[in-house]
Amino acid sequence: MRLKGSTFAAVNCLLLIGSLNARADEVRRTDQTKVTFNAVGPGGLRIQGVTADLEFRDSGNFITIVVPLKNLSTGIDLRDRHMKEKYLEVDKHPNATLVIEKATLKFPKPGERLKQSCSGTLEVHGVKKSVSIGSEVDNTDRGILVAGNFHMNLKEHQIEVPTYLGVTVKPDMTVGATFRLEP
Amino acid sequence: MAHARVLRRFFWGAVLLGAFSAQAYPWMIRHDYIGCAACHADPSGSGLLTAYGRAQSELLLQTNYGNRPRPDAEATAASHFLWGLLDGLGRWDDWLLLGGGLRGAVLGSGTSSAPRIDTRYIQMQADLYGQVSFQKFRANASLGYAAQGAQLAAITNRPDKNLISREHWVGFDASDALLIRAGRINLPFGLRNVEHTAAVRTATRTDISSGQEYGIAAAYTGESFRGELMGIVGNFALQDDRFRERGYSGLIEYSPLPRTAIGMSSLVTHAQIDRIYRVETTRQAHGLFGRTAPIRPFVLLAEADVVSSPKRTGGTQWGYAGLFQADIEVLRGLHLVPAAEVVNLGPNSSTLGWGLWGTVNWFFAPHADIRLDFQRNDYPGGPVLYLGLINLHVFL
Repeated sequence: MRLKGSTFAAVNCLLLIGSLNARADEVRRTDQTKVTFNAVGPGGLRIQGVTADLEFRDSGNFITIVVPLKNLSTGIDLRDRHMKEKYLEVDKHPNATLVIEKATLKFPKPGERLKQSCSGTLEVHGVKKSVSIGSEVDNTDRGILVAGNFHMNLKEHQIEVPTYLGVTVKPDMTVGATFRLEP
Repeated sequence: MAHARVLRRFFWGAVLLGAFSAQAYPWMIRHDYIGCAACHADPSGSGLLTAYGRAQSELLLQTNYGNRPRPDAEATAASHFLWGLLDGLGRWDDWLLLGGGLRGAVLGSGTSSAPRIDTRYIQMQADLYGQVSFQKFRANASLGYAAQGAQLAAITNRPDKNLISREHWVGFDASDALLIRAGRINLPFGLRNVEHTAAVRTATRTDISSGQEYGIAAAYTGESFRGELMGIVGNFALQDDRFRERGYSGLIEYSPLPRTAIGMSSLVTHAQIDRIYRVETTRQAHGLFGRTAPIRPFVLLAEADVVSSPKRTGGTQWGYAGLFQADIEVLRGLHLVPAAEVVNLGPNSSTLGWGLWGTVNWFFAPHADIRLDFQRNDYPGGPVLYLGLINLHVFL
């Protein structure tokens, strides 16, 4: 599904990084990071999980974004424990990883903001799936501001659909991230 | 001043005679619960809890004294019906929900013109609830006792000491999101809050104490929208059909942002003889309401309604009622709830009334909360009213 709007365009940053100072497996410093997932359930139930952990890697032709899941939180301790132990099995699959080919990306000029869509490979729970990512990248003098999102389905990653006392979360959810790449 | 007298009668009637109904907490929006159906059998909130709702009452509402084995421990058996005492008989949450509520209060009241403070005990609630489900069908009912008041929900016909049934309905789950019901049902309108004496509830007659009506209702709860529309056929607890109101009541609410929702309500009913105004009346109430939790401990709730009433000389006039309330959870389970309200059902500013509330509500134990309310009400045509209320609520 192609998304309009903001983008998971670490990719864009990577393209610039690659063109200006290409080094294999370069880890770029990020801050102002917020990674979220938004899920819904019956009866108006909404769940938002948030983590501030994100690693941005440039490995030549690809950009890899790694999100450690150990600190992912939904605001309710018991729900977090179920999420990490029972469903995501974080002890076996500690990270979610998104890989994007640089060649599919465009990068904004200094002072420019660019919206675009691209494809990437998402690995969660040990299963890889292609995802369509919408992104917005703002090339500012304070750094590269990146925002992006995509849809995923838990079942496609062999994640058991969460249910608790008769309330079942829908397997489709939206994942988003915002961060700043330091100049 | 006729409307001012009506308002004072509304208020005192609600306080002294209108028994209090079950828990309804629109401030649960702070935990991302936009809708109510995950926790309550009534999709618009209040009353009988689901198994999920019972667990949330322990995990989210109740003060934690550090006696839980770990912060992320499972909800205990104490969250179950009757504190889990019947768990040995088996679990039946998937087809049978049981509950009940007891609320007793000591009310102290005084006026600016009289130095004396009158106190009295009020048994506000003594109800049992239940719901049976079979495939897509449900049957839900409550049965209670009211030592005084709640005549609008009475199933016996005595001046006091009545058996009451606030709700009884059958329902069909057309889908996960759509429930269709028929029976005696809470009117869908505005904030479903426990403050049944608030002007927005008394002026619109949409409280969950004894303001239910018979009818058919369809309730939808989606990801960002929820709504309910009810066709009202009358309150059959009223023996004389001329007093029964017929019409509709409905609400729709939209959540544009996390922990924020805005809604609108509408009600139109007609009675050959209005039970308050004693004339043929087509009564209308329309309004807006909203809830937001900019940070989890702090929730703002507001409702503003326009309300019609008959003129003494014939015709209709319009008034209004408003409520602005904050719920501040200073510690888990301990809520400070300041509120202000305004009401004017009369022809001009001389009939304007207003009130201030200060509430402390503490969910101190499994299935129990204690609440202190202080109110100052300044309604035209009489002295300023001061109320202090302490009530203990226990749900089964």
